[in-house]
Amino acid sequence: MIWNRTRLAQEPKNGTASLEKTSPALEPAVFQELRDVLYNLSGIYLNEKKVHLLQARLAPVLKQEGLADYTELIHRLKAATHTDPLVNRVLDAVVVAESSFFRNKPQLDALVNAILPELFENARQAGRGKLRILSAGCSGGEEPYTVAILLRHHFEELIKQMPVELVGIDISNRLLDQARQGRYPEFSLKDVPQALRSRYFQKEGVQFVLSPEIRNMVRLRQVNLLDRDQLFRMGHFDLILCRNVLLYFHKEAKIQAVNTMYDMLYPQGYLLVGYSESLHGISRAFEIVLFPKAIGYRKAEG
Amino acid sequence: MMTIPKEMATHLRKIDTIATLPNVATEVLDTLRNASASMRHIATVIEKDPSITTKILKVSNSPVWGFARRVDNLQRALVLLGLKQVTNIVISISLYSTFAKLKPNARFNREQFWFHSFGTAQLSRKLARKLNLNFMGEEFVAGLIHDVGKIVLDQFMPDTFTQILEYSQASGKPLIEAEKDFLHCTHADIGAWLLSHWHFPDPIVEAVHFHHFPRRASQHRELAAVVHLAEVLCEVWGIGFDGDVQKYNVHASPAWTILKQTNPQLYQLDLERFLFELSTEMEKAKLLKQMIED
Repeated sequence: MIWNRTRLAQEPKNGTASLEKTSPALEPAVFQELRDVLYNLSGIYLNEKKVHLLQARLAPVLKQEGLADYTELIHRLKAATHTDPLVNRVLDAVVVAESSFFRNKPQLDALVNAILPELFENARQAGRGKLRILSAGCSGGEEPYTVAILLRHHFEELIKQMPVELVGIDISNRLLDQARQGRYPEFSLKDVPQALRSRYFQKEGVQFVLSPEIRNMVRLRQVNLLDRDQLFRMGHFDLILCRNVLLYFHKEAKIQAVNTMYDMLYPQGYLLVGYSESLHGISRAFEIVLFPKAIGYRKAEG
Repeated sequence: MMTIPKEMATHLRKIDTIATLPNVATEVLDTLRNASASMRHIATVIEKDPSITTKILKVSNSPVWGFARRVDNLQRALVLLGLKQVTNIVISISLYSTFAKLKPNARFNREQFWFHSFGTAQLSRKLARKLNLNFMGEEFVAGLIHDVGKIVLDQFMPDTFTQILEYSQASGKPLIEAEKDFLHCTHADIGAWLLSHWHFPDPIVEAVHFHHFPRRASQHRELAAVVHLAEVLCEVWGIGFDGDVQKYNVHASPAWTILKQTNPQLYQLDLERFLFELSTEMEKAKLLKQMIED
């Protein structure tokens, strides 16, 4: 299956130190080679600062696969195709694949400070009555609900004049059902500012329930990101968020999905991918727009 | 050649009383213009200044370059780092020591200024390397010194400069527009004037002069574009000097257009990866700044 987003168990809080002792050290040169291999394979870029984390996360993979050290892992990855289960296992280990609310603050700041105001203005000038936002690969709903909270919080007046249609799609019905329930463990709320947490979530036992006013802002649908017809039937969007999804696709699938999303955008619309994901070599159609510590892909005028 | 009002020029002619470039820098700049200058000759020039020689060795041993073995003499530094890089270091150290001696205004955040300058220098160098542009190391020096006009303003007319900074902040006007309103010229004009007064090579003078508007450069447009792009990247990444940039469309920028004209293969540049590496580059810039400071 091409689009299976496996969620990673939380990284062990205290386990890092003990794992380091038993796992071979990741030397800087080897780390760089591993980074290049993974970048070529998936477009995900690993920061140097993550060396220790990476070491802790990959140690179990080495063990599982019976690999002696990282050099051997690199050899295996170089020979692997994207359908090799090893690739998925390694990606899951290096990417924090669990979903949570308010993930990656710089991207959200860019949305609030620059992208959304620009998109509202574009929609108004183009004479469109509403703004349309798609969360592609929305899993348990954390991403579209985050956007809904941001809209409610920062653009309260504006969205009365220009309603926003928020659509979340995922291939997994199980995850979409979770999203519809809107119940989350405390962990997925770790980045939600306190004021917003108390305003939009209600604690019930060990879980937090998202308020219906936010839940009702998002429409959820089961759609496969590789099904062009299904996607095109959804119409055009001003903004598409597709964060930490494409890295699991092989190159041809990635190109197809990105091209489809390009076509689905209104002129001057934006695509946002994961903060360390790259579309280099995948699409040259977008303009790269920089925001403080965040990158946006913009569909050129026309 | 510089578009500087007469009054300002009279003012600037007094510059040598507040700041002079160390001899070693002037001589190194001279040898640079002489294409046949040998490594041995440059080494002799540099060795005349023991404090700078010591500092070069210190900088050469910094993890920024990642040499496995200790660099313990100047010849070795020249071989390992290359003429270009050693020259960059000499000029950086000289410029820094020249200006660091001056006492800045209360409004002038020196720490941030130099972080921004070293960041721009480092990114200019990295960008030039990624684009295979064959500059002679001018990109690093031009990046480092692109805002030197601000130091001049801060020293010669501190009150006016404070007014300009405050006016720009209050009105939301870009700093260079505010400068034009008050002075009929900008820090870029002033910086370029000073560097040409000091006989810096033309490419550097021009890049500094047009670092806001690379399209206006006549000879060294690419160099100006590289410095411009490097500066904006710093500003987007939060190490700007006068306000940070909130949004920058790289592909629609004039600098990109200039670079595309001379590099048809520009699209092959992995811009994303370059951006992912920015934080590492900023760490290097910080390190370099620290080494040169003490």
